[in-house]
Amino acid sequence: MMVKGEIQQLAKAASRISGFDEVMYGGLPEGRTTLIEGGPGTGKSIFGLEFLYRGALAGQAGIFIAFEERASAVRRNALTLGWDLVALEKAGKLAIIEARLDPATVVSGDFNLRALLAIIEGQSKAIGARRIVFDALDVLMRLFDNAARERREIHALHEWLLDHEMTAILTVKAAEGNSGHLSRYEFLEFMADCVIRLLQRPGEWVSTRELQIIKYRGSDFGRNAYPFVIEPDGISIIPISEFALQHQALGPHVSAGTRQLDAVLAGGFRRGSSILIVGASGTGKTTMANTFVRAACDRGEKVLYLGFEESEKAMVGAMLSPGIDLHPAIKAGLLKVITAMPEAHGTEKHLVRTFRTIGEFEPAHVVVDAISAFERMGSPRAAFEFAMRLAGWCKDRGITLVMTNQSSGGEGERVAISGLGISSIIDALVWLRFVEEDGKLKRKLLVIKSRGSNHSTQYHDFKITDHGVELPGETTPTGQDRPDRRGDE
Amino acid sequence: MNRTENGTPEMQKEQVYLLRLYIAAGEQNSKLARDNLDRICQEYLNGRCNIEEVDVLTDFESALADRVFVTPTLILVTPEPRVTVIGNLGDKERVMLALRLGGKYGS
Repeated sequence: MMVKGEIQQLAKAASRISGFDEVMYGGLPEGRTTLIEGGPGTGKSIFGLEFLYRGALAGQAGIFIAFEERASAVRRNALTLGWDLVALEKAGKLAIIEARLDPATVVSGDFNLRALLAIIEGQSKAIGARRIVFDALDVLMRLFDNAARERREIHALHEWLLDHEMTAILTVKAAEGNSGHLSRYEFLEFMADCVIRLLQRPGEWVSTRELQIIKYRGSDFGRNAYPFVIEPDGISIIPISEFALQHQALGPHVSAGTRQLDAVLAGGFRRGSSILIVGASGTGKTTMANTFVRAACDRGEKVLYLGFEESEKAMVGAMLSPGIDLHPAIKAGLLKVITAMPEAHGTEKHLVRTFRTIGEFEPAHVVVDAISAFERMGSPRAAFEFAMRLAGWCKDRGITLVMTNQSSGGEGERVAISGLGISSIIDALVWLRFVEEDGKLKRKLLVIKSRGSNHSTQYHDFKITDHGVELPGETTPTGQDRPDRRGDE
Repeated sequence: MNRTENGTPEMQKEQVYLLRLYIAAGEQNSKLARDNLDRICQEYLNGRCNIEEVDVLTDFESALADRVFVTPTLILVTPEPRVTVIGNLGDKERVMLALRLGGKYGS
């Protein structure tokens, strides 16, 4: 019996939070306690609430204990994500306990948490709850104001949870870099079977949310900091592979298509990296991407082109005016163009189709034009997921991924540049824009980042001529600007 | 010194204190709280208190309604304003102060 128990797989409770169960290898430890730490606004409460919400929808009742927020605020916040908690409360699948303490409470002598335990015992019996979230436990802990009492009571709470086989989440605010706070929670971290940390990193262009599993007693787990988003209908974690997230050694250079482009990029793109070309409509994103495509095909490398904006015929035809003839590459079987309407399928279907094509065609490079169209797969979140998963998939296989993203200009520019929030895995970022100069609208190119290279940081003139793209004033004149063309000109 | 003579005469002479004491039956701190509260009532209120005792182990709904999460918890229901004191009431000065019963800090 004991031996059997020991070798048994740890039971897990599926959170049904998008992508989370994958990085947790199944879900939260069932009947055990998980600690979620994070600074203010990192999404701890939403995380706990979504665990209960998705569970309740699947028929598993849960209790949410709010030590900081009013129950009405919890319901209102949930509604912004489209979650109707009131309906679940009425159905007896969810109970929200507002446990905010009266700030005028006077402490006189020793006390314990028996009342709280009696309440949750009563409530959990009433609705048959097996899931429970203590949100902002740090607020309760402040009340103890005595380290020994605090440990004793949190220990009693933990014992109660174990005795009742509750799958529990405790959330605590952890101020980063505050050693006082950390030592305070060390005890909680030791006690909990699973510890998750939520972070909000200010990025170059937009801040990125990340989730990291610090500990998972008795189970393996993904060890990276996984990017996640909270919109529009809940948390979505991108379970992209270890390999894709670790900034592995950069591949060798690969020409961006012309010598001038390569000069500005200090050698071109890197093989197996993710490149994002951002710009408003008409700035030349597709032309720049296809400049890269033709050069690659000229070298005999295979390219898969995923077009979400126009038909193959329209795209190939349009490229003739800047002098980029893709027909020979298509005929030679080096370029495969696949066009799809984003709204035709959900994210999963698009991904499956794309991955299958990549597997069959085995391209050296993949071009996606444009990720801005992904939103039409359903939501910004669907778009984010598609882009992240595709980028992860390509990175794992050493495939260069060139994506374009259409920006609307103005205020939304920076958001678009960040590329749906996927900036954390983008290696090179090129911005094309129109700038008014001497009364004329001119195209300009700026390399915002190119990992591991000493790229230019200036705006460059970017011209689209009938024989390709030109960056006047950059190194070699046109005509000899395709270093990788081999004798077929 | 009779502390009941401090404060306003009406309050001291006519006001009956309605107190609700949340306890967990059988617990040492709860017993202490009850004893300490009884003593305060006798000594400073001449027994003019109405103590309602609630055992959270049998009546969690009341605890929930009063937002009581620790035991023992004492709530001064009337006279208003309402006051919450948690703990075994071992620190008499603090309890007196909270219940506006004068003491060394006066009321």
